[in-house]
Amino acid sequence: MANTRKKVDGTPQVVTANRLLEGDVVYLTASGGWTTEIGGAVVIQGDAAEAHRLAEAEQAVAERRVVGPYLMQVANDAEGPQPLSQRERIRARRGPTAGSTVGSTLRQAAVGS
Amino acid sequence: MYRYDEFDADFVAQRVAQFSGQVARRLSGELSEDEFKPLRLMNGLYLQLHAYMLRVAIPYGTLSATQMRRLAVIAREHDRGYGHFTTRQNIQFNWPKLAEVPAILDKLAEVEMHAIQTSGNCIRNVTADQFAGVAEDEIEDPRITAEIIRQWSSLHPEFTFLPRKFKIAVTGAPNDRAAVRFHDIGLQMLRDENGEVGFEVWVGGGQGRTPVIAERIRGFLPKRYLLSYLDAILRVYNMLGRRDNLYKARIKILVQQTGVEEFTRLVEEEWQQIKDRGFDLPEAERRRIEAYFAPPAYPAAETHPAALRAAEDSDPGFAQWLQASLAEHREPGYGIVTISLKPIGGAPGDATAEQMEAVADLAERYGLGEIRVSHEQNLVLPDVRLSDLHALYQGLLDAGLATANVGLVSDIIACPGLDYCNLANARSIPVAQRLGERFADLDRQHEIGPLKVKISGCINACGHHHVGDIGILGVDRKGEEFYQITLGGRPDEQAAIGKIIGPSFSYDEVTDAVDNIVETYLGLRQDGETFAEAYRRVGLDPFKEKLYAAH
Repeated sequence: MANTRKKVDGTPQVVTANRLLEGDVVYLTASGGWTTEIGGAVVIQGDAAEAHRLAEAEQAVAERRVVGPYLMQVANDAEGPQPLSQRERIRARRGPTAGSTVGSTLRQAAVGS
Repeated sequence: MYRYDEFDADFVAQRVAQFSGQVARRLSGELSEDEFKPLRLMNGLYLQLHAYMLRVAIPYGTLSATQMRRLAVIAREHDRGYGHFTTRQNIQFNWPKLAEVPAILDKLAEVEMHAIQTSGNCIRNVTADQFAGVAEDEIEDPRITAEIIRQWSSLHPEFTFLPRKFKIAVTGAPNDRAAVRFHDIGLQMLRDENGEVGFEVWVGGGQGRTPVIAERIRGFLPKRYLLSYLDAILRVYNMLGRRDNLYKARIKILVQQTGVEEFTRLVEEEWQQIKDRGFDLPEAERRRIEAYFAPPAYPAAETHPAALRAAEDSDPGFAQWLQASLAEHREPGYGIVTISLKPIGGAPGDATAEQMEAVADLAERYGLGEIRVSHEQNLVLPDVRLSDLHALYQGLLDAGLATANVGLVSDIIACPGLDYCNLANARSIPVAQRLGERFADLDRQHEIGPLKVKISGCINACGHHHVGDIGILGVDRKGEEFYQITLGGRPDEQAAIGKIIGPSFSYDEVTDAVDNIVETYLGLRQDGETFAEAYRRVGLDPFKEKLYAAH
């Protein structure tokens, strides 16, 4: 089942989910594919587009490509769709804001490189 | 250390085989996500913000060097080279791929480990004092009790559908290092007037959105009645605990709503019906388990090695590390060493594969091959000869593991927060990193003295913020991160829940706010007073006044 989060009328949205195999954060594209880059997401406005794209997402769930799709609000300007919430900004980074850097720094320190 | 018997090995092997089949059926489409989710959670596999997360159980926080090396292999081969030790003495891998999880579980099973009872509404991995078996103040090793509870709870049919998750902690010492008063059941060992060892039984403690200090429902429970009494508590909870509201389903709510007297009466009544009907462990079986935790034969060791004194005099970094990291061992000539997993600017509780291997090597070289994980997200070498301390320190330095901050302001507990966790409202790790950097000067940290800062990224309180001297709770305000500060919490035998100091602070303000609180403490403390003692004397107001005068 798609998990549709609360939206404000008229706010542009994209469909996001996680890949079944890796858990990677992905976004639905205009061609019905999935991309890890939010810039490649199809921006949705209006009830009809929403229903159509969610149906596409459910099809991807049925085909075991993704899990847990939901609509998420974005700002949509010349730079393309940008997440509005901190949670979605961090998801869009495809990794933690600090933890992974620390992990690799520690790793380098530990091996002396 | 406990070693699997045939039953344990068979049980874990069966679960690995079952889960391998379940993953295969999920990938082939025979199982939907809705069908698969409860199965993966029963095996410790979550789907978090960026990836799957596998939480591996470390029963009562005890690991062998062999097991630690295996965790390193998993970190390297199936993750991104590191793992995260948690406040429940477990380890989490943040980046496993679904199809590889059965292989990870296979590798864990080879070293007698698994990911069972780390998720879902079951009795979770039992936690214990990280100094178990070696602490100077200990009455009895709590791991014997914890292991009995592990075996009793793993396949108990009544516990497969509890109203909510259920956490049990055990301490064998009067100084509570296992936070037993903040667990669904806390067991504290004590002796009665005849010298018999038993338990004080605490029920209904917990953190989360409704922090509650447990109620003592029995002053002394003889050891032989451990399981029948726990069964009676669980039966009352299973019968009366709420299943209609997730937020009211923990036993703490039941105890509060029923009233401690009535709850105790119900438990005692239930217990009277079952106590002599074969629910308890036969003495011979108890002794069999106890034998695994028998103290090792400690080779004689110098109690005041001259080389140690010389190293302290010649190496100030070592002297400072020793002051922070060494605890009294019950055996003369030995010490307990806590290894900080809180390097300045690091992610609390994280260790790289190389660091895990280094700790395993050092545990074998300078200890007896055993390692502990503390709920404060550090590691412990429980048996180090005093004469080996300087060599151990140098080995830890080489591995980037010799930060001399154990128990000090930068030894911060922090949950994974919004950087990893699906439930979080705000980040925890970067807040801990900024605080670590602010207090990076170790001389200043030692001057400040014992101070526990604990950070949770949401109200679920995995970072134990309610029981920090300074607690920090991340909240979401219109999509942005804010942090609420509490003061005066304590997890130990003087259990206390921190009080909210006032309006919350933005991500950019929270480091200054904590610094301001620490400076206020330094300004008002009297001779030798710790932060906790000073707070108890003066209360919240002086801190509040200074903090909000500056904002």
